[in-house]
Amino acid sequence: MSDSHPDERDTVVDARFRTLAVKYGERFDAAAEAKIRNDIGKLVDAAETLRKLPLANGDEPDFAFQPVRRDG
Amino acid sequence: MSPDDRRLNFATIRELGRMLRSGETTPTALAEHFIGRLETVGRELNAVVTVTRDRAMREARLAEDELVAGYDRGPLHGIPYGAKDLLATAGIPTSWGAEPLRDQVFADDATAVKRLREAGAVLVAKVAMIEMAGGMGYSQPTASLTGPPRNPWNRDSWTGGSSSGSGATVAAGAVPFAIGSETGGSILSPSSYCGLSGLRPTYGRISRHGAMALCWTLDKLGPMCHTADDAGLVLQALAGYDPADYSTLRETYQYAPEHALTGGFRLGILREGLETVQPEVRENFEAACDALSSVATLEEFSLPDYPYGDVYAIVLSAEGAAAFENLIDGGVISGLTAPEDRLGGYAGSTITAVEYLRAMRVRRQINDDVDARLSRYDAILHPSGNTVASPIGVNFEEYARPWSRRNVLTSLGNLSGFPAISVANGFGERGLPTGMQIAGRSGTENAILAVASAYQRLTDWHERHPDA
Repeated sequence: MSDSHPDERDTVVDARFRTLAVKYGERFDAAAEAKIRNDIGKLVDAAETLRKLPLANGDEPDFAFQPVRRDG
Repeated sequence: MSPDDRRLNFATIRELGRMLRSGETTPTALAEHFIGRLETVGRELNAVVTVTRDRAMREARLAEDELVAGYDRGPLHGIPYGAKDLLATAGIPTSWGAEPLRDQVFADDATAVKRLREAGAVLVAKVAMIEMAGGMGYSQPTASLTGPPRNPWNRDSWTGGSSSGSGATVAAGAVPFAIGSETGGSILSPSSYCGLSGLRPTYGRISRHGAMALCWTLDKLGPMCHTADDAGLVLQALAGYDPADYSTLRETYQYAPEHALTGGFRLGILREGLETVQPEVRENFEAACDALSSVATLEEFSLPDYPYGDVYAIVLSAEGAAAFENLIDGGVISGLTAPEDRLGGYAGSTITAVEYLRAMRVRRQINDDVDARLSRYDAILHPSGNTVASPIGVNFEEYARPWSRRNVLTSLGNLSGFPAISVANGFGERGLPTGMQIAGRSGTENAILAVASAYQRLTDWHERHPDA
């Protein structure tokens, strides 16, 4: 999302941090919050970079569910 | 230290095997010798978590009795080794390098440990590692319950991580070989920084059952040794399908050292990123390529343009957050040693499922594309690391800032799961080793081991050892 409007990126980062704060908020002081927001921002940027790559419906992920019989 | 002691400290697995079979030494004498090294130099380097004396002597006595009785389990019979402390060992603490998990004990051995026991190897130590294998985003050598791991070549310098104790103990002659693990450079980095032959096998070649999971689609185990030949011997003992680890390959692996004699290799040189490595790293790499030109045809190799680092970051962060969910939820990570590690696990849990799947879809494109390119070569060559080891007490991101810390092959090699070996190729600043990685398409360990062995016949960097 690095090429998106800064407000949009900040909103996404803020929303994601708030989901953590709901669950773990009491653990985070101001310095911790700043670090986690920075970490989230890097991942949001990485995801946005990947979102710009063309993928077709048939482009599957690099793993496949394998039905396995545990008894061989 | 007597010349005989020094010879023993740095003997290869094959040399130790000859000494065992000629009666020059015994498995119990070897175990005692290396336990002594671990308790002295190993401790001084902060490289040891637990010396497994009782188990070691039990295994050594059994190996000795078997040899006397004429039962020979093969090249690793009676050879001591160290296991990274993320491999479960029955009844012996397995700390994952983390202070809050110092007393964690599992009931059973990891498959890798079982296989080495079946091959006759003798477990003498659980060796140090970066806490949680670096999965919480550490940036300093102190991120370990045993203190900052020190490099035998220069004790004021780091070993690299996360297989730090594996690197330090082998380089110091405190074990003949050790098992490390790699998710994003954790075998190649300490092997390069410590001057070892460290092999990251093809993903799925070695069972991870009983090993700490950091990232299921990236984690791999591998040997760290004095020579490429030793790495092949250890790999053969470890490799193979394991029903307890669905990722393991069903094909059998047979080390084929005779391939090392063939030569006539076709090698690709990856020069991308060489402008951002330390000068000595570049010079030593170019010299290594020149050396190999006598047994190989060398061609320029280039990588397709993909956002490798972004794909890697999404996959590692999402899977790591899931793998450590209980430790994060339970607040266990707040007890980790490095302050940055106490907070590093949270962001990954905000990645959406669609974002993770998109990363895995791009990963497939990368792997198809790269495999096609790699298929034209026996191996490709590139520096193992962009710098030598950073000084202890220095943030390694800061140390590497004048160059580039992230090696171009680290994310790609792990995303694609192809094998690579780091071999020593010279020295850089502060008298520290540099390394060259020899990588090949998935399943071609014998080819890259052959190239590495050919290089080690042409040079003697692997025969240089610190005074430790």
